[in-house]
Amino acid sequence: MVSMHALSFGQQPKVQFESYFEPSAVTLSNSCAYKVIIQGSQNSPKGSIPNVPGLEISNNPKTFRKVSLINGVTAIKLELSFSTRPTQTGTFTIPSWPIIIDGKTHTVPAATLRVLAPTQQDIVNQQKQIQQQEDLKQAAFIQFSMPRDYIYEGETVVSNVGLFLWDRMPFTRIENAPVKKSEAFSATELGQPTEKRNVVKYGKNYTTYSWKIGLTSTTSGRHSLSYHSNVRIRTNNKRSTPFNSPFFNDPFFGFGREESLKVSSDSKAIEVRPLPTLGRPQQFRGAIGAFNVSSMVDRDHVSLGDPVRLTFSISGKGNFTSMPAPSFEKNKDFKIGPPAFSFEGNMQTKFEGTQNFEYVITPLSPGLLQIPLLHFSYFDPVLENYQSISSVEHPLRVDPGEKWVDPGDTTPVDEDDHSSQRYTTKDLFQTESEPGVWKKTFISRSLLQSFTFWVFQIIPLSTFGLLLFIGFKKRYRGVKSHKKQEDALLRDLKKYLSFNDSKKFFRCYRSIIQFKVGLLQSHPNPYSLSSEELIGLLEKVNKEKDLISTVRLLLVKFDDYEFAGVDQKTLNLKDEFRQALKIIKKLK
Amino acid sequence: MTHFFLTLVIICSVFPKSLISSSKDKLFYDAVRAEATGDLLTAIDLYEEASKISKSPNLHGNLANLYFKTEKYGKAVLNYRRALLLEPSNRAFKENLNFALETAGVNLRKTDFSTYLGSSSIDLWIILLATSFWIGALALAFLYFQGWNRKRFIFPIFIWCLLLCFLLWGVYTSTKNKRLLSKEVIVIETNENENNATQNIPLRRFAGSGSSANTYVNPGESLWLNLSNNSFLQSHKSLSGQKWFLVQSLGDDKKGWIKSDAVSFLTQAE
Repeated sequence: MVSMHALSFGQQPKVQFESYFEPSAVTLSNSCAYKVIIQGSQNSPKGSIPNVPGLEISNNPKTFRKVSLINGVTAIKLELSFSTRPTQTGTFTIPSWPIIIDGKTHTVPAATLRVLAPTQQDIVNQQKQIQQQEDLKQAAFIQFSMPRDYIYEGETVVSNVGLFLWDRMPFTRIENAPVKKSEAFSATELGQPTEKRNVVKYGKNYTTYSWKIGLTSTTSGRHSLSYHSNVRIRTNNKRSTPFNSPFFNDPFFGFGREESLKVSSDSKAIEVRPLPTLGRPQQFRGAIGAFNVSSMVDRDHVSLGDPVRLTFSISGKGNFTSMPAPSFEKNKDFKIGPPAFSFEGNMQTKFEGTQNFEYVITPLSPGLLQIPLLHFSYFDPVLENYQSISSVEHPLRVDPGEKWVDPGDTTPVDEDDHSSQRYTTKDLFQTESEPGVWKKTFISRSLLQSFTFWVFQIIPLSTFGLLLFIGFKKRYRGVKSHKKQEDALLRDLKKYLSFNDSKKFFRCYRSIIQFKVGLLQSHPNPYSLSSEELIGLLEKVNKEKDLISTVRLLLVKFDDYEFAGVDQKTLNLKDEFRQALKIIKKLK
Repeated sequence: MTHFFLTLVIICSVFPKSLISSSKDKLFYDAVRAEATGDLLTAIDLYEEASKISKSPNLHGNLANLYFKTEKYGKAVLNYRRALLLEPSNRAFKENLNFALETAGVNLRKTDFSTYLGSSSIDLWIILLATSFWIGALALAFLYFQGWNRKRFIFPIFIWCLLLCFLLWGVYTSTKNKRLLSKEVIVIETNENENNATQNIPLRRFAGSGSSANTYVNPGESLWLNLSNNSFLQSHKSLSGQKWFLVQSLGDDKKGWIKSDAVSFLTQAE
């Protein structure tokens, strides 16, 4: 043991230092403690232990403070204990090294450790420990997968992390989900694991808990990645570690105590490549993956000042967590606010789904406008090149809308003066945003010059013609029928003349007179008219008196021949026929 | 081959029309945008450019508004009139026209633009005449063949003829008014009288700048071109190339020679 006393003078307390190894000699397989004792101060010292090849000294010392009163004098002591593990045999000396307390520099004396060759028992214990650790690895371990051996800087990949717990071990719960052990990657939060039982591996049955993690690389280079977790396990009450013999020394179910067990994965080296600068588009903002874009607006016709919502959606697989919103080109026609973000898809990994950016766009001028395009560029890690896609064009019709009238500018108008009230309105001249119907000339052609108008006149003209045709046809048909009847009666009269049948001759003669007189007054049934009625009708139509008297005599003669049995031998029917023709002519 | 030529003919006939259509629409919307940004002069130029391609009521209404805002009341009145010719029932145009006339100091004549005998109502008169004629003719023919006594026809035929005469008068008058429109010109501001505070434009005794003025007219006033005996416009071209028109007001109370650039034809775009 080497000691050194550091003395101080004056008012300040005297600070003394001691340093030594405990034990001062160890075998290679065992560890010891490097102790630094500080007497006279309890303040935290600052300094660093020199590196000595062959010794692994811990950076986290155990600290003990002690204050005692001896013979009325206060004694203060601070002890720092550093765990030390030798890696080779020999004698090792930590040289004196500076230490700072309360701003003053002191010196810690040197200390020496002798490391002996391992004994047979040490070798056996070491092998046993290695075997236990190997066994322990199979009892509980973590495995994780990566899609490729390399990823690009900023790229997000999905890593499947699985925690394997041997069914024969009395694990009670998982203390914490696997935590990555690397600063070169950022990971998404872990959610609830997927549990799977009776998974056979290494000839053993396991229960597995798996998580999907979105891993994003932050810095380029070659980085190692591993995961570790803690699980609780129930063990017996022996103070010895529960894993002295994990396969054959199972703890008692439910009667032991719980201990925490650290479970780790193997470390995997992953190459993080920087993104190529060649061919990088200006719009590239760090999106890496494979994407499609779409865009839609909630309205295509608004009034000036009314907002329009444009939703720009990026779908696919990639680093949605670190994807900034695409920005519009500068446009004086629109005021565009910052977008609202929303993600639809796997919220755990945020690797696959749709990222929506909702922009509120306010038109600043009326008319038929085009909403500016959104350009989106990304790097495809599979194709290993940059891709650029744009939103579709959205035309937007903006009406001028109502004009805002300054309420302070309104002037009171006399209610009696209606004309002035009508013309003082500022909105009298309203600009129309639509042109209306385009015409070739100011004055349209009149209907008289329109071919269609004259074509349409054919309809009433045809109707009129048809009406005339039907009317005249109807009238002519009646006349024709009367003529036919008259001709038929005359034929009969001639026939009876030729037969010299006076009775039928006069009967027919009477019918002709009835028909002709009845026709004068459009009588519906002229053959029913009696002699008096016939004379009466003739008088009514103001026929000549001679004709009336002649007809009267004829009618009497007919009655005589018909009913009185007058001698027919003296009768000359030919004379009667000639007279009949004359009378018929007069009766027209 | 036939199909090819047919397609070519269709494309040649349709394509230029679509181009013209899009260009006039584009000019109109560009003008609306320019107006919204406050660039009134550019907006006026764009509207004028569009009006050379085609006419629409809103185009001339907007153009009139801009001329009114720039205090060119003659051109404002001219374009309101044109807008009304294209859309006679638009009340806003009528109100604006009256306002512009009042601002320009032109006497309002209510019978000029809004009567039932105006040029725009000629088609209404023709339709009424044709309808009345055919209904009457068909009804009378029908009744005749139904056996109506001839004496009973006298009164309905008299009424029918009276109605037809009235409608014929309507057609004749509105046609006359329509013909009058082709001779109508509106007094507009010229570069010469822009600095003139009164903005009055002289109607001269003779077709020459040195001649004294018979009377003065305001921008926005309507005048009618005088026709010679052989129905040609009475115009004169001076040695300097300046064209003059002999014009008169409707009541013949104002008459004289006016420079051609001080008037604009109502129904003919420049």
